[in-house]
Amino acid sequence: MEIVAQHLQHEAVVRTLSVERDLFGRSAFNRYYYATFLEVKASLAKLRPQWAGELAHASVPEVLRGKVKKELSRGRNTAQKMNDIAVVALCQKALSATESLAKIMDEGRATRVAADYHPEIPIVFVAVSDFRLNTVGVQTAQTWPHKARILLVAISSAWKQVHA
Amino acid sequence: MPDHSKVITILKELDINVAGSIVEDSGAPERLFIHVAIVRDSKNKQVPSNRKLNDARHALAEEGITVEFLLTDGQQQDIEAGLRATVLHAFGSNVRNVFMSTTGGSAQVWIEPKQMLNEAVSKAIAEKVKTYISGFNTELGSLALTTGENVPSALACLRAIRQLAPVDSSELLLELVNRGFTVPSTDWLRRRLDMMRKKGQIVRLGGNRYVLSLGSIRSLGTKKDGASPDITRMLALARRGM
Repeated sequence: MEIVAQHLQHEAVVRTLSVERDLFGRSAFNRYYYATFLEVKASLAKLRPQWAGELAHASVPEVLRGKVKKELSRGRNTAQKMNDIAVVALCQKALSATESLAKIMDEGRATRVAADYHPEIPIVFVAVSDFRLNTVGVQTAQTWPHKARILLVAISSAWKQVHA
Repeated sequence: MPDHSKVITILKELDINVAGSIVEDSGAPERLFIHVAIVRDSKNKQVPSNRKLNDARHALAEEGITVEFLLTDGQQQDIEAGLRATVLHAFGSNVRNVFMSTTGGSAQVWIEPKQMLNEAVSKAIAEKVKTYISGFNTELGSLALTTGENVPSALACLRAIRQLAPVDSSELLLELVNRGFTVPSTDWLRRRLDMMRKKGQIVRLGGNRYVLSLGSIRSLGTKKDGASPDITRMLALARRGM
């Protein structure tokens, strides 16, 4: 999915007609968001198989800020009682990773909604190969999938220590 | 569908300037996404403050409007881009990517290494990051190398022992591997068990079998759901034909 997004981004830059630049540009945002969503969904399903079915787009930040955070802080408290400092630190990092990931998913979703449902909000080119949609730069969107991957590693490794 | 101009007016009264266009959530049209550009005052405090944003959220909620604020921090994006360039320039053969996030006013730096890093390199990277960040009057909250390191912690060992007790080190090793952990060697596990025994977390019985100490059982606590340790222990005992 990510390579599709990169391709669309490239097309948006090389096309000459502004209508086409707009179409390819907004689709790039859409695909960067989906690439990120799929990463998150796959990882969360590994933590709790029953989440695989119930994770709709809107609920991802909610699950992260709710169930995931709750379980991680419970794990952190147990580790605290056992004086396992390494696991406490791991959970602490995972908790902050969870919040960062929720923020990325909010931003991604809002941008995807603008891309798909609001054609009146145009793609704005700010440089030859840089464009924005509703203040979000394509270079920011490009970082969503790999940021998500890093944050998910932090969440999963803490999760494993307190739940496996 | 909520009236956008009303939202903008309410936010303006609170000195919050909306960036870009307001969009409704596709699944829940009563929920609005609003971009707000963040700036820093002379004391490096976020403007508008989180408190002010929360007040705005409540004021809008009273009008029946749910909003999600998306904060864009231009300065943070600049620092992050500079940090990435700095670290990749110095440690390009060790590091694949770097990024920074902020929660509650302090910065978290995340580093994705290309391979497992030795201690000297990790330390050098951490130093570089600290030096760079300190130049921006920004507090470094934490620095995480996301190695995906996967050796079982003391807590993970205790949980496995609780389920199988009394258990010897080779059975425990098998169980930990089954749970998806990497155990470097039997010797490594033996030393870890020894350490836990000296801390009074576990007790060694005859035949080199280990059980949790009463203190550990109390501290680990229990849960009243399908994942309850009492139930998993009963099932584990039944599987072993006990």
